[in-house]
Amino acid sequence: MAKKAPSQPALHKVIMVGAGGVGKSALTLQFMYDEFVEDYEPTKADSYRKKVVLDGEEVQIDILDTAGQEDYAAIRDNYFRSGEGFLCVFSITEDDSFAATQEFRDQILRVKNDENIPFLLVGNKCDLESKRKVTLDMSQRRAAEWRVPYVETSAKTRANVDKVFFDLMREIRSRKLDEQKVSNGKGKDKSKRKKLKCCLL
Amino acid sequence: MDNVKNLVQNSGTLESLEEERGRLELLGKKTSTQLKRTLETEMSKISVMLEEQRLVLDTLLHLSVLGNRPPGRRTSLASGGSEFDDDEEEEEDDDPKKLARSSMSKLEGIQGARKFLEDPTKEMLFNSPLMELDGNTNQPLRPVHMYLLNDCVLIVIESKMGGAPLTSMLETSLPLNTIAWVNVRDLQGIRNAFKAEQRIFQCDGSELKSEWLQAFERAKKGQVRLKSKIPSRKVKSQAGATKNKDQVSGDVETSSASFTWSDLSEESGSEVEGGMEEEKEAIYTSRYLSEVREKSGLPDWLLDLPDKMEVLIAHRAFKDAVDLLEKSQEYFKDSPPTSDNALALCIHRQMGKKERALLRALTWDLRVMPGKAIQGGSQTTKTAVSLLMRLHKAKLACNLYLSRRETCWQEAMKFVRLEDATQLYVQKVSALFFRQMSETLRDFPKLFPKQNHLHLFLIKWMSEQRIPVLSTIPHIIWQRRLQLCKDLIDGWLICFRNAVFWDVNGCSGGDSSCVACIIGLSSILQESLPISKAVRLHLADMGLDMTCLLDKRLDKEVESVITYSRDQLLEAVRVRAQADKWRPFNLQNKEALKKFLDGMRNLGFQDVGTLVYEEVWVSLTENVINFSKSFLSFTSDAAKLACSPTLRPLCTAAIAGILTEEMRHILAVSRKSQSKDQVEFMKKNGGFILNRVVPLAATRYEEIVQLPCPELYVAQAEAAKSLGLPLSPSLSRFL
Repeated sequence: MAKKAPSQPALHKVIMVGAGGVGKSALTLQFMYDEFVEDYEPTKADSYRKKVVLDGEEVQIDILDTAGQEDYAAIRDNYFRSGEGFLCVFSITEDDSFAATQEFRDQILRVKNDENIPFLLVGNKCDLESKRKVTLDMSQRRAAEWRVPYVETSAKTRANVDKVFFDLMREIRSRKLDEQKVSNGKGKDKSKRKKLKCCLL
Repeated sequence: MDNVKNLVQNSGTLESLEEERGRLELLGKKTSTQLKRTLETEMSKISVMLEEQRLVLDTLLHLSVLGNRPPGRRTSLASGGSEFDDDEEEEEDDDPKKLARSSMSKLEGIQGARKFLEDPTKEMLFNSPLMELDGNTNQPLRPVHMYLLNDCVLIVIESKMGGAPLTSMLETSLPLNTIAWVNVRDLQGIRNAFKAEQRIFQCDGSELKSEWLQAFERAKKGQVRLKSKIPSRKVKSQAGATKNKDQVSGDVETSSASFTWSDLSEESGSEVEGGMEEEKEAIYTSRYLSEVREKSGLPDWLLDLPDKMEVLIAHRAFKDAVDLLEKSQEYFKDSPPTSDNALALCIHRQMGKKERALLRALTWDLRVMPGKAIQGGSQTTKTAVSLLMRLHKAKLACNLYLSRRETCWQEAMKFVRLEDATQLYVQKVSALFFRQMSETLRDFPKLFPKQNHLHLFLIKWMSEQRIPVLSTIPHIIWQRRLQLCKDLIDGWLICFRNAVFWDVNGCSGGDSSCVACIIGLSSILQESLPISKAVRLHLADMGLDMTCLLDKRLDKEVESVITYSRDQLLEAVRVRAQADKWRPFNLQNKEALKKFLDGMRNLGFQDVGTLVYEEVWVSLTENVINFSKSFLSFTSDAAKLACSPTLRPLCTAAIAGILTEEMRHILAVSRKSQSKDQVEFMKKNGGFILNRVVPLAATRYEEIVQLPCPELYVAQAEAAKSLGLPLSPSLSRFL
């Protein structure tokens, strides 16, 4: 968002969105600390930062774990505004949480005003296959419709946890490189994004 | 027990028994851990549920009373239930609320925080100093103080302007209903931090951080509770704009006055904080309104008015805003909002708030901050004044305008430096002063037409203005610097004349108060006399005695000048008379004589040549010649001041007094003198003064004051009598 300090590695800002109880925090904590927290406590808005090596390059990931039950749409918008990429999480065991992804998607697109914002549709709790309510086909169709990747994860077994975060970071990174090309390396990030926005519009 | 018995019987050896014991212990341990974990989970779930229950109960309390106070709370106020009170954060009882309100005083002295301080709906929930961290490097950036109010967060920084001491300044205010508040769990070793709107703040200790997070949650719940009065607005777990809208239409059927009102009032509560969120809120509101507008029977333009007003005020389209406001007032005058029409009531209240916002904005345009440069030109002033008048705030506008003028002039004064050339300085200062005065006088009737009652403010203001230069005169006199004093007055007179004439030309005839003020100022001056006479009559018609008011202030200073000059001259008369040798004045050569004659001619003596004999001698003493010069000069000055009726007696008495004193000395010396020739010579000198200098002085006086100076004639006659000299039959031949 802001100008990068030369000494700091690139910072990618990821936002976890999704209905309450789908496992956003569990995914985050698994990614951050390799631990699975079974207890459920609703999140307000927590942020984490970690240095990781992305394809041989040291980068920082900033994860904003948002509340599934934010009462204020305005506040949620405000959170979304700061994100460069989104992991839109639902639970494959819960129909409602899948339905909610559409609203989250709409809201993000409205706030970011950008159809191509780095975005992954994530079906969590894939270890609970027996309780599956959302079929792979349904999810993939929705992802195709949005033209975003679909990945199934399990915060419990750590299946695909690193993948979703790294895939998203790659998208964010390539997006930033594109923007740099578009703006020919001039100006700050903010202005670049605005410019691109105008092009798209 | 059977189990144990079995076990003992079946197991033959001690080892197997030991093994069994170990297995049992392990099992026991496992069970207890499991139990503990389950219990913990249960506990946390219960606490979450309890919290939710509490919230629901709170919400129900609010819902059930529809404006009445919840039972058990503020019982003393419960009777006042008809008001749809929009108190935002109600604490458990009165005391915390009072405390929260009183702790608002912490905002005192913070630049820019005044509107929060003055807003009675605002309460302080929590505050502490924090360290703001740089978003990129996570290094400490600057210390801040954060205040959590019931509907917004204020960030106050210490700012240093130039060499001034540190002052607390409101850096920003963030509305609580949009603020993105993040608990920073992990930030590369940065502890106890949280984010607000992308900015990182670090607390001094984990306790403070958890207090902040709790306080923030509480505040947000207070907000949610407000919102939840509209059930649809309380977004369930999967909120979305579209769904939200659908729900709204369903809930419209059950709409009540309370929730409509609270919704709108809450929105306006954070009106200034603005931003995209506010706009979006407005959209929600208008969507919601669209559902009820048919029922309300209000015209469309009125329903959209609060939003429109807000936009207009934000865009500084104040004139349009006032137009709309007047339109709405007209509407409500014809059909006042009734209590059964909730929407009309609410819009009426909304418009009241917008009117206040508009007033604030306009007042802000006119206000001058001490120590700050004046913002906005005369057009801004003009617009703001005329709009304030339309909002029936003429008095406010008038006072703001006048204090603005005063500051303008004081600011301008700062650029005039006291330089060596006193007269130049005086001219500059006086020119500024009179320009300021006459500009004010010129603009005032245009800005405040048909507002005769406001003229009183103008006159009061004028009388309070410090008149520069004149006020310094007593000080200068004290220093016995007569020439400087003369310079001051001369400079002042020049500027005044310019200002007065310029102003009179620029003034339209009907501006009585304007002219009245000028006359008040000018009445001490000969230059303004023709105008003075004409307008004093007018002044009397208006019943204003400006002349008196201003003369009184000026006269005191002028009086001391006259007295001082007179005393100086009297002293000179005494000293010179004693030193006088009573010999004719020898000019030594023709050139000096020519110079002398020219000088006398310039003073008004046309035929001094008759006094010259033997080419270089003048049959007057040097003392008498000098006296004649200074007496004429004093008479001219005094005559200017004698234009003011209040000063006239003093002036004429001074003129006559000086003459008498001189004549007394001549008489005294001539009586003592032994030589007849010398007595004749003295009488000749005395005759010159009485028959040639006095008529000349009298003529000058009359020219200036347009009145004769009887005191001078009396003094002349008395002196002539005691010296035994005939008075010349016709004074005109000296003219």
